[in-house]
Amino acid sequence: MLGDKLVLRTDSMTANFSQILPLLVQNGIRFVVVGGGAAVAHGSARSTYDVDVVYGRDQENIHNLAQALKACKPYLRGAPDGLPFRWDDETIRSGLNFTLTTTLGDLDLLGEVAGGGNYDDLLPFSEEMAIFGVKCRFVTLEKLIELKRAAGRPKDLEAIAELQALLEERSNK
Amino acid sequence: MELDRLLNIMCASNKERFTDSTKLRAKPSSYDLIIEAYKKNIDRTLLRENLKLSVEERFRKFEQFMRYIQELHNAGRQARSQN
Repeated sequence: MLGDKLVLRTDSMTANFSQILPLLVQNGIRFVVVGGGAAVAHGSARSTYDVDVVYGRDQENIHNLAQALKACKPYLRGAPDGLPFRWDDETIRSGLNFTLTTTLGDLDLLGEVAGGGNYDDLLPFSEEMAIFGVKCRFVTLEKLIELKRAAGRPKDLEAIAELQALLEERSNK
Repeated sequence: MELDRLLNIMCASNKERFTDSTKLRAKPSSYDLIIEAYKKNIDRTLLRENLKLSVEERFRKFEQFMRYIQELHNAGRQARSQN
């Protein structure tokens, strides 16, 4: 099974929410935004360099995801160029979490997250928000804090502090 | 300094629970101490400003900020290549 040999990468280091999120929504993909993107949606002032989403792993959603991103030439982030990586239904079914670089920027497609489970587990803890002409789901602030704590990374402690402060400020409004 | 001390205490008491250099499995109470210490330095005026914005306005502001960061990175890279 041979994939593309030539990989077109973006030099942009920004997380491209304004293009990636509408692309996913317009292609009928079911997902919940987590990570730094969800933090921005809730009012965070911290930087993030990729778009993190938890996606549904049913057959239809996997197929839509494969089709939607094909034109963006997704490739494994950090992997050497020229690997026979192919973006299709079979690849997505065979894996779970994909850290990708695309022509639209870096994108993490997560089938499961620590502390949150899969898409169906996370859905009740998400809320719909209107953004860039589409409506998409973001994990709630309370759940985002839980996910960050469950990930257990030292670098997240400062982020958790900010998210907790956001929760407090929101409660004070 | 306080944060360093707290991290050292946490590391010493949880040394056997580390799986790799990026994972830290501390007791919840240790986490909370560090988080509370970080919270003292959070700029809440910035958060309050962001809470006044719509979700889309927050993302537009974020993208503008990230473009600025990228410009700084590019300028730094250019300066280093000229030295």
